[in-house]
Amino acid sequence: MDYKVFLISFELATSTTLVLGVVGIFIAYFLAFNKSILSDIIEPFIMSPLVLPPTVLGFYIIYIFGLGSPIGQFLNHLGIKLVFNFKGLLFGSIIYSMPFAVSPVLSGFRSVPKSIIEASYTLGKSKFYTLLKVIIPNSKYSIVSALVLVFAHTIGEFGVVLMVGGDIPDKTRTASIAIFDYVQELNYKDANITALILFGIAMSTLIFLQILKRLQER
Amino acid sequence: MMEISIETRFFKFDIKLSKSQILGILGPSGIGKTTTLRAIAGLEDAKGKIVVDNEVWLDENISLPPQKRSVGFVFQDFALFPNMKVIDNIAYASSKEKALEILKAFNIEHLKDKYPNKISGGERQRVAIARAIARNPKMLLMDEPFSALDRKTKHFIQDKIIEFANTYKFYTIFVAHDLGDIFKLSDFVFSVEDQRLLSKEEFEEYSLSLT
Repeated sequence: MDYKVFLISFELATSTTLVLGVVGIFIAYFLAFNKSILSDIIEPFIMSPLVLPPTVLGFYIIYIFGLGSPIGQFLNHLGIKLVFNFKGLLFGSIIYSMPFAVSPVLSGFRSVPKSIIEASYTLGKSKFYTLLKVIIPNSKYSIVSALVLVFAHTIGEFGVVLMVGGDIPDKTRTASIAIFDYVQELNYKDANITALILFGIAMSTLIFLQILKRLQER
Repeated sequence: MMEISIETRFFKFDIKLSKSQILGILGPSGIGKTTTLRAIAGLEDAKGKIVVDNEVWLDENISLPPQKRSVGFVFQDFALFPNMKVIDNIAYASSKEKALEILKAFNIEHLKDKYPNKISGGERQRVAIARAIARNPKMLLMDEPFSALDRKTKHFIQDKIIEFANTYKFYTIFVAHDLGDIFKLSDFVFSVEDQRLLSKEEFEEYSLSLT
C-alpha cells in the first residue's frame, strides 16, 4: 500500500488551510463590509466551486494556466508551473476550497453587531485594528469552522486534484485518487483501508464542528 | 468653541457650545435624534459644517472619518466588546491606569475583571459611559445614556458627567426621553419639534407648559 498518498494529502490540506486561513479572512471582510457593486460581482465567483463540477474548474485551470495559454507561458517564463505538480495541486485546491473558507467567515463577520464595530471607530481605531481586535475575536468559532472545513474538504478532494495534478505517484497522487486507482486495479483491500482512514477524518471533522456549534451556543 | 450646522435626512441642527457645556436633544421617537448624533460622530452622511476648537470635522470639502473625530460615543445598546473584560473595554482607547481611575470614579471598580455578558444592563451602561469618557474626547455624544439606570445611580452618574465635563473641558450632546434627565444635565436644550435652541430657563417654562 502506498502510504505516501496520505503524506501528500496531509501536506496539501495543511498548506491550503494555512493559505485560505489568511486569504479567506480578507476576502470575507471585503464581501461583508464593502457596499459597492464589486462585492456583488465577486461573491458569486468566490462561491462558484460550490455548484460547478470539479472537472469544469480543473479544466479551466489547465486551460488558463497550462503551457498552451499565454498566461501559462508567461508564468513558465518566470519559472512558475501550475499544472501537473504540487504547486498546481495547491493552486487548484485553494480555488476549489475558497467557498468553504469564505462562507462561514462571511456569515460570522456579518453577525458581529454593527454597533461594536462603530464603537471601535469612534474610539479612534483604524479598520485594520478593529478587524484584528474586535471582528476576528468575535467571529472565532466561524473562523475555526472554516479552517476545519477547508482541511477536511481538501483531504477528500478528487476531481480538481486529478485534473490539475495528474495522478503522478509520489508527487500529486493524493489518498482520494489512490482509492480510485486501487479500485481500477481491483485492489479492494488497500482501497478499503484508505477509504476507512478518509472516512475517519471526515467523521472526526463533523463531530468537531458539532462540538464547536455547542460551544458557540453557550 | 464648537459650532455645528448640519442637515441630516431628518432635520436641520444648528448649535454653538462653549467648552464643558452640555446640550440635550429632545424630541419624539423616530424623528432622527440618533441619526444626528451619528452624523456628528461621522457614522452617517450629513451636509453642513462642524468645527470643534478650530478644527474642521465637516464642511463642503472635508468630512473626517469617525476615527479622526475626537468623540466618545455612548451607544443605545452600549456596544461593549463581548470578547474583552470591562477593564479592557475601557482601556481600549486609553490606558489601564486611566481605565482604573475612571472605574473608581464611576464606582464600578469591582466589575473590572468581568465580561460584559456577566454584568447587568445598568452596569453595562455605566461601563459604556466610562469608556467614552476614558478616551479623553473633545465631544461626548450619548444616545439615551440613562435608560437602564435606577434613580439613585442615574443622579450619581449625571453628577460625574458634569464633573468630568468641567475637569476635562469636553462638549457634551445627548439624547434622552426623560425631561428630568434633560433638565438636570443640560445647559441648553434643542427641541427637535420646534427646531429651537432653549436655554435652561426657557426649557423650564417649556416643560411646565407640557404638564
